[in-house]
Amino acid sequence: MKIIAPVNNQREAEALLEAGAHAVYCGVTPYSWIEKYPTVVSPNRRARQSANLASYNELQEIVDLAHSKDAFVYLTLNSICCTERQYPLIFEQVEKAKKVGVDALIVCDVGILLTIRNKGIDLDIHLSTGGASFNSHTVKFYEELGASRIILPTQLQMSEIEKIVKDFPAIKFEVFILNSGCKDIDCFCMFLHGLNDDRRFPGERFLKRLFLRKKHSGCTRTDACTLDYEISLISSADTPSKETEKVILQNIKNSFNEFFKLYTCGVCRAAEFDRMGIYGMKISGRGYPMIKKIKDVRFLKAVVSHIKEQAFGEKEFSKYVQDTFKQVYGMNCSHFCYYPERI
Amino acid sequence: MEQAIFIANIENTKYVKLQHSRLYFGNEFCEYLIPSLEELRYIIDFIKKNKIAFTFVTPFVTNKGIEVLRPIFEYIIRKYPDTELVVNDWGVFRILRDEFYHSNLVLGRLLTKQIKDPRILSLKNKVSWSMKQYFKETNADTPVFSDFLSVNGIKRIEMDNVLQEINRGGEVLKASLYFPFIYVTTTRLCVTAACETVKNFSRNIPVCGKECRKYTLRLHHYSMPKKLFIKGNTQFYKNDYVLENLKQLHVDRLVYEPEIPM
Repeated sequence: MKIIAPVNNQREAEALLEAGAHAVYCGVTPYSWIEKYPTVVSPNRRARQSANLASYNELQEIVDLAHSKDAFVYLTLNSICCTERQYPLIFEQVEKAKKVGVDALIVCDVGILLTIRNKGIDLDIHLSTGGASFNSHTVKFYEELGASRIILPTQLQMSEIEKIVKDFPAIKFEVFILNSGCKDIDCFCMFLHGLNDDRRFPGERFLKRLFLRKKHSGCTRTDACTLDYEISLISSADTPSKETEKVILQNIKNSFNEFFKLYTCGVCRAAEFDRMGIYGMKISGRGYPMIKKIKDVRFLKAVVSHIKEQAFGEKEFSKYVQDTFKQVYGMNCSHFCYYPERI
Repeated sequence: MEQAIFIANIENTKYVKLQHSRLYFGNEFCEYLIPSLEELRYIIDFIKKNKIAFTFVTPFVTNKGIEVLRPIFEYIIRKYPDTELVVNDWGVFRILRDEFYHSNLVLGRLLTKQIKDPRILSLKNKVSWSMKQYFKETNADTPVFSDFLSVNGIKRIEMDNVLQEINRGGEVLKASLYFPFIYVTTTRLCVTAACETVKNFSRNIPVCGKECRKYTLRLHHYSMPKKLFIKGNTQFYKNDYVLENLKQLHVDRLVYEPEIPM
């Protein structure tokens, strides 16, 4: 199985490829885009500048570096809503990507897919998790539009993933692993991402504070899925007891706190993914600090090597993964799993 | 202007009034809420008796959900072939096009992308002209996408009555406008399922007891100009104010939701 890591700059790409990544993925927000969309609106689902490369020159450097190490570079253009006005800017990126030698585009907007096909652009197309490939017929739909690789949505159960992969032996599939455990379905979430209503804690510093495990009670979360809402029950078919109402409200409140976890994992599933024929594990989190990404790649590399070298049972593998987690990150696994069934 | 009404369970036929010439029935967000054949029979009898048109609404689905929908499609297309079918899943679209040869299809709200964050109102005077236009537009209006939809049997798109208004022009498909409940986000990690018992939190898809049919919750945060509602696995906000220039926007149908359609 391959390890696909997110990058924001050339220095990171070098470190992650050195650590064992087989491919890196990145976004670019060139000046032509920022001029029209200075904030919040992104061609690749990451509005924060720190989560993107600043220029095509940097992209070229990363492509040259990756290719010198027999690794790959994928450019994300996976906005879930591309309007007609944005097409010239999107296709400026596509042309540049082709020119610099990017290995594939990660897209999900059907209009963009159709245009790439109509223009005969000769680049591999990876269908982003934003394509909502929850069933085999959707995968077939995208295959017919030119996708050669599918990045599966995170909210699939293991048996559902297995069935889809089995139905398409000729297509490569990636699964997300590690970080960013958002509770909503990415491609159906029409909240804005990247709003920051507190200038004391711009994106990167906020994440660094979490990563360094300092108390973050002073931090401001701005993503809608993580706000500290006041929650009330406003209607019910029959009036619940006060105790039941209390339980309901606590459960809902917890869901807005619990799902925003830096150490969401899923690596205990790696052996099963390998057995199913999953092509690659994609590390989430373009905006995360470099040190975290390096550890993520090292962690996955150790696990993938272990899968190759040894035969083992599920519990034994899970113990190995959790022990390795502790070695790499210096703390116990929080058991906050991307794919939690049966563990 | 066609007046349609959208209900998610059969008890809500009580809301159908004389001005409604079309009934929407079904669910967009959850395969556990796909109606049974019995419920469908009831609805088809109802629309025939009341001589109104019928639109069946389908959700995004897993492979299991596809198998639940197949006999329903067989039944509907046999019993009432004029039925309009709303698709919120490209796999479902593909089955209807290629297996059932049904060409009276509509692109649902999940596939007609519009930014819907209520906080757009707070950004109103702080963003560029391009951003303001972006917030008012949908990807389904791009010529290449519109043409694809049209050629493949989809003649209409479903839109939400968003706070920031809508901008459409040129050669676009006809649209329906849903109001007053605007969907914003959805999940399979349903927070309402099994909500009556204390949960030990993990990212799992809970066992569903259709608690969503019992409970509606409201969320309030100072940064959100509109209160949000959770019903089942989906969040909505409410916008009662319907735009006046609907004809210029190629909107020829209003879809009224008397209750959150879950």
